[in-house]
Amino acid sequence: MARDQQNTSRLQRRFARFRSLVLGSAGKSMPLVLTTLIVGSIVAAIAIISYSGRSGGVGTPGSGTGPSATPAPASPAVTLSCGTATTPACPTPSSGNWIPISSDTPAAVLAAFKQSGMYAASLTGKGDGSPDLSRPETPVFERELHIPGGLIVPDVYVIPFDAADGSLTWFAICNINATHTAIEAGEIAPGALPNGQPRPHGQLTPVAASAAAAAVHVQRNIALRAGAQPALVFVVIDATLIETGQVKWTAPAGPQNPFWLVPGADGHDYLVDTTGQAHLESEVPIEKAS
Amino acid sequence: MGQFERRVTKLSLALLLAGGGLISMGFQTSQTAHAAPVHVSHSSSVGGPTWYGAGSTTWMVEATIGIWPQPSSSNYCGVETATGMVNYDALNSSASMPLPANYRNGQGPVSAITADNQSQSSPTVSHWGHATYTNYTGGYSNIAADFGTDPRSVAYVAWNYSINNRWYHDYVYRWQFASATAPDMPTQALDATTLMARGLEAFGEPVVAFINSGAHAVLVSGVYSYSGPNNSFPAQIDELSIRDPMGTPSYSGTDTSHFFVSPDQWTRYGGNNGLGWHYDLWTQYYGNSKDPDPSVGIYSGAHWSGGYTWVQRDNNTSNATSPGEWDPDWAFNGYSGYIMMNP
Repeated sequence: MARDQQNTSRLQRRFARFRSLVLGSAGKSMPLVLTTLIVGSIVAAIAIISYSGRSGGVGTPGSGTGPSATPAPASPAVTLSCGTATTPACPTPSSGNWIPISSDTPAAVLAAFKQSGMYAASLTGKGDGSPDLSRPETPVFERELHIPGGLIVPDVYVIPFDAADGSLTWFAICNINATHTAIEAGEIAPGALPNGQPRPHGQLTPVAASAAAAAVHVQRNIALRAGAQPALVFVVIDATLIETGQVKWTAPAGPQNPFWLVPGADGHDYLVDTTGQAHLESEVPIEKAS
Repeated sequence: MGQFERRVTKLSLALLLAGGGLISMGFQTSQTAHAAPVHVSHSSSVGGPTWYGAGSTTWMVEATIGIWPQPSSSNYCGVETATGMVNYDALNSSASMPLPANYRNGQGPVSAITADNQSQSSPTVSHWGHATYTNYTGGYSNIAADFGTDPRSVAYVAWNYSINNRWYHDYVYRWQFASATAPDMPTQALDATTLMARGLEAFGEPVVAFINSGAHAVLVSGVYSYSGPNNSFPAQIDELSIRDPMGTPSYSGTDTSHFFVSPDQWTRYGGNNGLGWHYDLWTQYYGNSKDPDPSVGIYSGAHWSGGYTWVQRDNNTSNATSPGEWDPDWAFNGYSGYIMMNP
């Protein structure tokens, strides 16, 4: 409260001073002229001083004169697995973010990912940046579900990584270009199930393709379209719609929780999420392109 | 008005115009961007890109466990991230966390802070007043009619509840601060990210970034970069480490609050949170109908919109302004480091 009173009185004093300068004696022009001169000079002086002394934008420079930051304790010990006298050389980060792949195969994608800066950082990382990516599973290709007006993002290869106990702890999500000649390490996402439970080795979705078709049949009374098969796709769920309460949605999604796209005999496409629920496309809060 | 007075008036107006012109130019051509003083750098350069940011995963979890996750359809993200930021700062300074999970006899930080936000006096309310009361979480600390807490609120919460001798401010970046012509959107976002990373480099502590057009806030706990953010613009950032209050922290391998994104995800495609729901991150400017610009004070107008904003620790404590620049009401130009005196 003392701070407020101090500030209030200071502002009041300044306002009173300003008011007397501007108004002066009623009907006299000189105080106004003087005020203009003073204000003009101040503005010019501030500008010139700022220009010559320190580059910057409009305003008063931050002083930055407070107490120095307290040095933090050293980071927890990290065992470097490359780049030391007793370990192999670290991968050389590729220039740019896109890394050519020798073929459109899981093995080639994994090899390319290992050339990425993200992978290199995981090997040598410090502090809050050291996911363990030492136990890769086989990369899986996933297409984004495209709907009219929907946000388009690249198709991906998802590379699961296991913990020492065999559970799945991280996913590397790699964008793949349209011609499938290069990938880009895009994201390293948590591998645990959204409820915080460990995810079993190899499990992108606990729902099998046949179970997805059965779910549509049971829940929607719609059979699988003749000659069609369920396909694994990832769906871009608009988190903002959920956070702002515009829609109610709980099912996990994204490349790490792909849906089954089940073509129905009624001509509609259905989506079966990782909880086994079947939805019409129109019922899913898919993000629209802005 | 006599001849002398007319001459003085002309001179005054000339000075005014010249000074104003120089200021409006923003001194763009000769700027060397600087957002915060450099004191502590946590980095490693063995083998890959260098880490700039929080030095301990254990502390990141400790700062947020039992407090996060926010309910998925709640507007607690600003309070949740500010809590994590100041708790980490305390741990980083060998102090007790100011906002532990059992804060205020078990009430918990989010409940206690939102209750405090119902006060209609300073410092909860800015020295310009408060925006139209929108909801309980935002309370009276907002200067914008925000769906949750706006960036001023987050800066205030961080400053008000942090350990002693800590200062936090909102930083704003719009391309006009650094360029004569507009770069493409990803470049703009990467420029802003570089400036935000300077706060990470300076203090080795997480910062609060407002994402998804302002609809959500996350902690950025660090970046990996091939060039030092403080010495390059934009820096060659390879990866950002995100701590998301929508996720559940854990000391084991089941932490769903932590993910990493490339600059392309951060600025072009967006990324996926622990549930796999899509975040736009910094692919879009701040601002939407639920997260508007300030409606009271000197920042009324296009302040956050058309750019990017984050809240970070700094050492701006001068009393050259009134109130002193320590006051969390002030926003700073992320490029120049100057207090912003207008939107």
